Amino acid sequence: MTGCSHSDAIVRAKNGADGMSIDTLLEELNACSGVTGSFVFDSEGGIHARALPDRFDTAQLQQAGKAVSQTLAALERARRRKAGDIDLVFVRERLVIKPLADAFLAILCAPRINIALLNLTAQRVARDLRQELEQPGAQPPDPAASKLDKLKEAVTVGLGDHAFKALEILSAADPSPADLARAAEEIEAMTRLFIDRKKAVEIGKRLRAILEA
Amino acid sequence: MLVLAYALSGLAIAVMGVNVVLALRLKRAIVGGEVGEKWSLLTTLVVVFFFGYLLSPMALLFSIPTEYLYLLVFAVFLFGAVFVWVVIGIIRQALTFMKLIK
Repeated sequence: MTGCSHSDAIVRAKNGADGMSIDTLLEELNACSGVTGSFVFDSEGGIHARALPDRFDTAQLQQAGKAVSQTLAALERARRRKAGDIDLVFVRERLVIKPLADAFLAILCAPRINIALLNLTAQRVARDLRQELEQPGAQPPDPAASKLDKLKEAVTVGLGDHAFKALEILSAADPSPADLARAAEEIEAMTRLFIDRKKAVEIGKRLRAILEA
Repeated sequence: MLVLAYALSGLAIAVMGVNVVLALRLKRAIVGGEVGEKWSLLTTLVVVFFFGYLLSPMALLFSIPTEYLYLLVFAVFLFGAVFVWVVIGIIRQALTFMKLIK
């Protein structure tokens, strides 16, 4: 943990042992090559946990977090569907934001990071964070959302460096079975047209197996 | 008239030379798939055209018999038709993928 404010400590005190788990998950994410740091914030801008260098002021992070969550909420209202990941590329830094249950995971990294490789770890960390952030007695995880994670993982493994566009298609898809099936078909077509015919057959089979499981 | 023919031939060679460079660059950028295969065919055709264009002023210079000239012209017509066919295929596939086709 670095540069944690008093308000963070309050939030962590509320979370009890969970706060430590979140820190561990963030540290794990930070161990990825090219990652500068990461933090978890909620829709009010409250910082649940942070693992960032000291030069990042918590008050500024809270402001940025609030702005991002408001923008995402507006996007969701406008598109009438859940927003996917946000990837903001700046000259010196890149900010990837992944929506969690009622919070967001922000990852600060190098602009030219291999996003597909980062997502391999980030997706798993985001899933664990969702579980950590859930209240006791909350609803069990959505099986469709879990399928979406599996699809993303299969696409990342199957397409490697070329997974970026396929992950975008999956992120834009609704977690409903019909929309996931449509996204899978689109990924198969894209792979057949622009990447490799054999790979398209393989990835198509793998995605369908996940959807039918 | 002959000067104009040489000038047109020179211009065609220059433009096709640029096309060869652009086609090869794009070929390196395309990962593969059906579009990649078709692009490889198009690149081959562009290179064939380029060499055909290079030979065209020689045909004038050495006044090759008319029959051979007809053969050259109709071969260019055929390759041109194949080229257009492949381009239409690529555009149709891309538009179908983007769901922009009726």
